[in-house]
Amino acid sequence: VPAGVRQALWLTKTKLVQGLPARVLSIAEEPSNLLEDQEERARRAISRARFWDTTEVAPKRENYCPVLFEELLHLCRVMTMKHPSLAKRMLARNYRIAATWERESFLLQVRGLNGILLNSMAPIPPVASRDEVAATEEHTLETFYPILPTIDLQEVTVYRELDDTGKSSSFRDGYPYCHPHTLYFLESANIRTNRFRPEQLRAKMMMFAFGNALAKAKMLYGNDPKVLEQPVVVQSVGTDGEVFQFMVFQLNTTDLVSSDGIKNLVWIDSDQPLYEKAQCVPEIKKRVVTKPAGIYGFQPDTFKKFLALYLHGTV
Amino acid sequence: GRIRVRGIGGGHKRRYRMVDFQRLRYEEGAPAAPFEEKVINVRYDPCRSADIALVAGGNRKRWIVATENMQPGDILKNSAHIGRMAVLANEGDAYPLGALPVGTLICNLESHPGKGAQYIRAAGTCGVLLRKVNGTAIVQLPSKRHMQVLETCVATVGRVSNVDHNKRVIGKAGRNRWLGKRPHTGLWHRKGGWAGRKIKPLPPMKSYVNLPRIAA
Repeated sequence: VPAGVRQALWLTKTKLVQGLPARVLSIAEEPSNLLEDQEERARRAISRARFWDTTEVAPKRENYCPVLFEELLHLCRVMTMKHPSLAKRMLARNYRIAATWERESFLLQVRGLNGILLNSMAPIPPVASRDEVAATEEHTLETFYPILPTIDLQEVTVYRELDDTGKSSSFRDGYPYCHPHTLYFLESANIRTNRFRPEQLRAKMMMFAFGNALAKAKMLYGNDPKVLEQPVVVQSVGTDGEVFQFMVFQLNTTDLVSSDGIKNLVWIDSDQPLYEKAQCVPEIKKRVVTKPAGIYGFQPDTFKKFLALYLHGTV
Repeated sequence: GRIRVRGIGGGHKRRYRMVDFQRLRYEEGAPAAPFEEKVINVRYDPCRSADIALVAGGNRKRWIVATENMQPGDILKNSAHIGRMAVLANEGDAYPLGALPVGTLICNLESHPGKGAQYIRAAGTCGVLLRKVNGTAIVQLPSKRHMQVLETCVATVGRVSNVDHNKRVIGKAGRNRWLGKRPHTGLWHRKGGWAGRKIKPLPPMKSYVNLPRIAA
């Protein structure tokens, strides 16, 4: 079966680029964007989420995943001192998205509770240059004959094709923070079968990012399918508490009925572990401590990318 | 309740996979035309000796009994069309018996069209299509019995998977218990007329075709 991301690429008429775009990576590397002792602060954030947050021995994933996310977001918000325009951001939780589009005789829609959405007053400037956007025209979408691309999708009768965010306040006129900036997905179910696998999580991130971008584009430029002059960019971060998936989605066109022409672009950086293992209790073999408690395999680059995605658009 | 068959009981818990024995099952909303499916995964099934394969086509996925040499990524063809010329069938495809050349090895045979495969499903078995006689086809089953069915009955081409199933060594009594077989009695019986090698002619051909009765 075409694993999640490949199916999502066909459904959203998108071309995949591995790795984050160069602009985001340069924001990550630039030393002026670092906090003071950033690595130490990140370690403390992980310890707070994984060790210190509970009276029991080890907190469950339902507890530590959102706590870790809040800690990392707080560290990003500290940067508001250096970049005052970061204050023009707002978080929205329990955010309901609805978007409908037609894709080669299939009417598809994205509905549901989103995750956590970071809105901003200013939109993110388009990441890919015009040449890259025009180059997607030659790219052919991958088909999975004899399997139809709509396999495993739920068939639903719709009575109203909704195209906005239901009754949330984000996209209504007058709301200052009206541009979707980043979506955060936390896979925090305790039981492994209830969590999404990394591939499925990436597909879910892509579909919701596309839904948000499409709803915003239809609001800005109307419902007619056309190629967008100013592409809409939405970012997305998904995690299960240990491993992070980063994604930048650029919507270039709302003309999705045919499979030719300009495609949308997505940059995915998958499976970035923030740390390998967080040992809550020291491992003891034959009454000798083999592994003391602590965090093993901390990767500072993952947090730098998280911070870069947060700062993108204002730097 | 009384025990009808002795020696059954216990055994490891098994999850049943719903295997689709009717190869020509069309999707709802799909036209009744030959269609293709792609093999995604071939795996062990605890409920039968053969392996099963997950195939997907159109908008649905299903399990089918895998044939020998079925690999993930193969494309299988299912057709109900009987042409004048016999089809060069690849292993794993499903065709009606009237469309196959005489002498092909087949498995998953059905006795009545549309009933679903009930014959030749065990590991490594295969039947042989012997001859085609005006609208019916005669197949030799693995027990060397001959069977006459309508030529529109669908069968898959090839031998059933897991060919070395009969060569396996159980190894210990415990493995038989895992399979759900309880031990025999140890009481010595003198064997009667039922035991020993029998040499007899083949039983007559079994016909599942209702030929019109000749009015007297």
